[in-house]
Amino acid sequence: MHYIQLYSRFILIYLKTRLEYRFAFFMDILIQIITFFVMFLGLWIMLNHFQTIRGWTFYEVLFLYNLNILSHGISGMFFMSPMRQLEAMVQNGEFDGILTRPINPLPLLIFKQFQHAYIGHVLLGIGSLILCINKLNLELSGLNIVMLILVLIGATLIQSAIMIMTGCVSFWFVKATSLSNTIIYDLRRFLNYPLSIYNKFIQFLLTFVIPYGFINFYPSLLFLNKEGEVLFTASFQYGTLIVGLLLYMLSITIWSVAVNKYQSTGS
Amino acid sequence: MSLISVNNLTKQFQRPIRQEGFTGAVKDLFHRQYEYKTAVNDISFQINQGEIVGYLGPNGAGKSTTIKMMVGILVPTAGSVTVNELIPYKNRKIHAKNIGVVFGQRTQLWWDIPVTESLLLMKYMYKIPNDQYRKNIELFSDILDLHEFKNTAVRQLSLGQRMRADLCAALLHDPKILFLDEPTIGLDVVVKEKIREFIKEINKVRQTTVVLTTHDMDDVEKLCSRVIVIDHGQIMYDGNISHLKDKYGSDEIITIEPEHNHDLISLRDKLLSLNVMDTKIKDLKLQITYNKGDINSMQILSKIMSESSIIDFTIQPCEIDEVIRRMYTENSLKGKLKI
Ligand SMILES: Nc1ncnc2c1ncn2[C@@H]1O[C@H](COP(=O)(O)OP(=O)(O)OP(=O)(O)O)[C@@H](O)[C@H]1O
Ligand SMILES: [Mg+2]
Repeated sequence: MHYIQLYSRFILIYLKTRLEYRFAFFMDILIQIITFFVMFLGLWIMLNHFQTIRGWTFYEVLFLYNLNILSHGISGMFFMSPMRQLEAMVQNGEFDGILTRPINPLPLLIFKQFQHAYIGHVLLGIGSLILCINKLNLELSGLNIVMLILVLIGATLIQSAIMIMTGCVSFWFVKATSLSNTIIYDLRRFLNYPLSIYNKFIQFLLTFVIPYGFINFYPSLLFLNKEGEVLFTASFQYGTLIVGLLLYMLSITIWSVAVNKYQSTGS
Repeated sequence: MSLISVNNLTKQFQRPIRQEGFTGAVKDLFHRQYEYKTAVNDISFQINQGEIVGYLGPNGAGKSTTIKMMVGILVPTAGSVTVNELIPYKNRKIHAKNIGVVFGQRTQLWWDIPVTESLLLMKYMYKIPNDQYRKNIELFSDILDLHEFKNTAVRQLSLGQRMRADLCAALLHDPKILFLDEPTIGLDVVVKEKIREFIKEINKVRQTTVVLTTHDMDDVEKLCSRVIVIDHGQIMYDGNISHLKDKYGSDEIITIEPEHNHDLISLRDKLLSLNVMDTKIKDLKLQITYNKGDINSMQILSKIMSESSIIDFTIQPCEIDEVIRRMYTENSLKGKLKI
């Protein structure tokens, strides 16, 4: 309860300082939306050309894409800035201040650094997800809605956990940003298309090593009734929330070990 | 049980040794080599409620490192710290409510927002009740003169203003203990004085225990009832300030520039009759080192002025670093003599 109150205070201040530069604030969101549309267009052109990608239609691929973008957007609002800044904060000793407050360091970092640019992500993600559900005639039963929400929670947890873990690397090595870029951006790009189109190595990697597959591919099989696409085992379709929770717990454990590794700076 | 209890505390930093060139970088990746730096080496002390303790030592002595272990930022390599019966790094959240922390080099306030908003944030973060908050803000703003810049964004404050705001922020939640790492660094005399007054007042009224590091002898003289001196991570002295000064710290240096260079030698000879410790001629100036207990500056100056005319003179008071250096050389000499 205290945390919610406190967070609303921080958000208020954040918005106040950001809205001083109103133009920049809305530009950030607009740029995100434009980036999204460019991607959308690319996908549309390609699928117009080929009709389907291994049996996945345009709206099915878009559905896949949306689960990724929406969960990335939600976790990005909270975790992206803190984890990006972490490397610098650890190197210049600014992290000192975080450790002398009566709030856990991770929430405090999140409170201090909201990222509004992802609002665009989230809004568009929701909008086009609704579009997909419509076009694909997915049944909106109570059960399906609950399932979708649980999948989104699980997917957001996976995205967040991976951001936290890549952030933790800063406590051991300098120059962690390039690693986190590779994992958060380059590797995640595979999620734009169904996992089944890639070779076995990529499939294995994105299922067991960095379980990105659970963000969108596996749960999509469930919603889109793609029985023919099963990889490894069919039960993975139900795995998103469990994988999300486990991975998040793992990331928190690594985080607390990492914080105690913090060496501060000499000046 | 003392409020702060430090026992055989040691901190060793690990620094990767980087190898040169591309092959070096690749080697680093697979086989990292480290060097170790012992910043704090097996120190122990106890501090009781209500004390103001100066934690002193030359650059790189290990002062900040010790403070960082006491506030819970760093995890000790060996030994232990207990503050108010808590182990700081294990109980960061509760510990944070018991302490106030100010680093002179770095602000703890929010960079982009006005001071008042930053302070308000402290209220919510520390769950400070309304009337306590109001009372403290009023009191602190008066002593520290915060009124003139309370609506300014922190990044626009001068160093002195920022320090005062930082001090206020660190004390709003009525902490039992205040840790200050070089609180007067880079400040002018007036602000320094204001800050010292404030610290003294808080200590007197609230019985707040204060641990501070500084390189300014005036801070120590005006504030500290007790000093702990460390060098190379080890305790050199722990006791009251007057004893330390009597023993090592009452030397001052007067530097004189006579009008006529040929007076230098004769002046020096004349001074030999006085009870001074050392005289030196350097860059056409005469440097006289004396002990304040034996003779005062007026006696020396009047003797000189009766003998010749001078253009300029300066008096260099005893610096804490100088005291420590002297103490160190003396101790290491003693060590050598024993062998
Ligand atoms: N984060 C760190 N990583 C590696 N070495 C460090 C680190 N912090 C401090 N040191 C080293 O430990 C020693 C003690 O540093 P510390 O900052 O405690 O000194 P200090 O007494 O506060 O000095 P100063 O008066 O200059 O502030 C120094 O040799 C310093 O180089
Ligand atoms: Mg220091």
